[in-house]
Amino acid sequence: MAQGINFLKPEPVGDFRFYYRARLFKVASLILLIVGCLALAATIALSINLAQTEKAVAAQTQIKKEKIAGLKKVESLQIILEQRLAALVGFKQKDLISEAKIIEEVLKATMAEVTVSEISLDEKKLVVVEGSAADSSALGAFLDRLSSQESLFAPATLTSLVRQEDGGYLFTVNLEIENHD
Amino acid sequence: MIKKIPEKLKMLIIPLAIILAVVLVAVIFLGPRLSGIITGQEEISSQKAKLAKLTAKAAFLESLQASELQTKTENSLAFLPAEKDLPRVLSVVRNLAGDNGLELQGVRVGAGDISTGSAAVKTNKNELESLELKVILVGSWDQLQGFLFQIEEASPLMRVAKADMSFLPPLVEATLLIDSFSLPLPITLGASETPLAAISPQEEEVYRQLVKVIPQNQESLPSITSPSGRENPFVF
Repeated sequence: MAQGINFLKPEPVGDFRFYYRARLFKVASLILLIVGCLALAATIALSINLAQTEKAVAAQTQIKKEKIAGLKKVESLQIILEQRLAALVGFKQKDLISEAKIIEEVLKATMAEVTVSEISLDEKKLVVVEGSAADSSALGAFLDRLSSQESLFAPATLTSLVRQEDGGYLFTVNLEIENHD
Repeated sequence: MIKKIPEKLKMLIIPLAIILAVVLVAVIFLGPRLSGIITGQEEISSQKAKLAKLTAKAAFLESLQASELQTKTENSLAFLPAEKDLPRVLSVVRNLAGDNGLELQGVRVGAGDISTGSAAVKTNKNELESLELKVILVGSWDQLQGFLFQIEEASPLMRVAKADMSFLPPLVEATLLIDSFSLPLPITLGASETPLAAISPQEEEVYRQLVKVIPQNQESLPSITSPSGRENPFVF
């Protein structure tokens, strides 16, 4: 009876299963070795690339820094200008109504029968008006006109009223700027 | 007598050695290298971000016209000076009073406000310092009104903080507390990669307004001295 022999894959002698597993183990170790070598090569390549990139970025950074240092005068001018203008913008936002306008509004409300003797205006723009009125109706009309000013004052507060012998009145009125926020 | 290594074990020695070597190389060499690469990548990312900021800043600075900027800064410094300038403020107030036909009866400088050093510690870099001036003026209401409107458009920046007026027809006696403002220069430029703030449209508008009130014969801005390092580049 003829028996075929495979010379490329000789039959293992002895424990067939052990030899088969040993061969698999050998192949696996070889694959692991190849993968390890590839990983090693990739890591080294990546390290070199990283170092080169780092060097290039550092060189470019240095160039830009030198360029900025060369433009230091422009930079300082820009900073000063921006600082000043930003401060002025903030200042203008707080400073909405001029003092002259406030006083003008008070004087606009006066009439023939009412004389303003003093106007005081403090830092918080609280206005104190002192004066005299010919009679109570003139004073009432003056207060109405102050309060009905279109945009400037909140309703006026009469803080002092002294009747004179001639029937007139000395008065003190507090005015606050109306908040339109 | 050396014991003979079994035939089966012989077959496994080389693969085992290879696996052991690969594991050892991975643990000793690859592990630290990989962690170094990750750190390096993060470092490069931050360096690239810094470079991008520097590039943007350099491009922004190059886009600015130095001569135009110089003029604008001079104008803004004339309107809002770096230091309290009492002689100039006095001169402006006296001229405005004279121009409006008002009689300047008295001037007093507010106590403790002349020294810039006394107000040197400011928490907000944009906080204005003020020089307080008390003036007594006598004239008609129209003259006083003209003065009040003009002082708000005068250079340097001034505001009437407090006003007391006595009406003695046809005259008005006004005691005014006038604040003249200044803003100290910044001390440092900051880090090189710190972006520069561009002039906003609002700030442009404020500049357009202030340039209208700047006298043309103002003194020029002294040139910036050659800097040594990044510290205090604003010393004029």
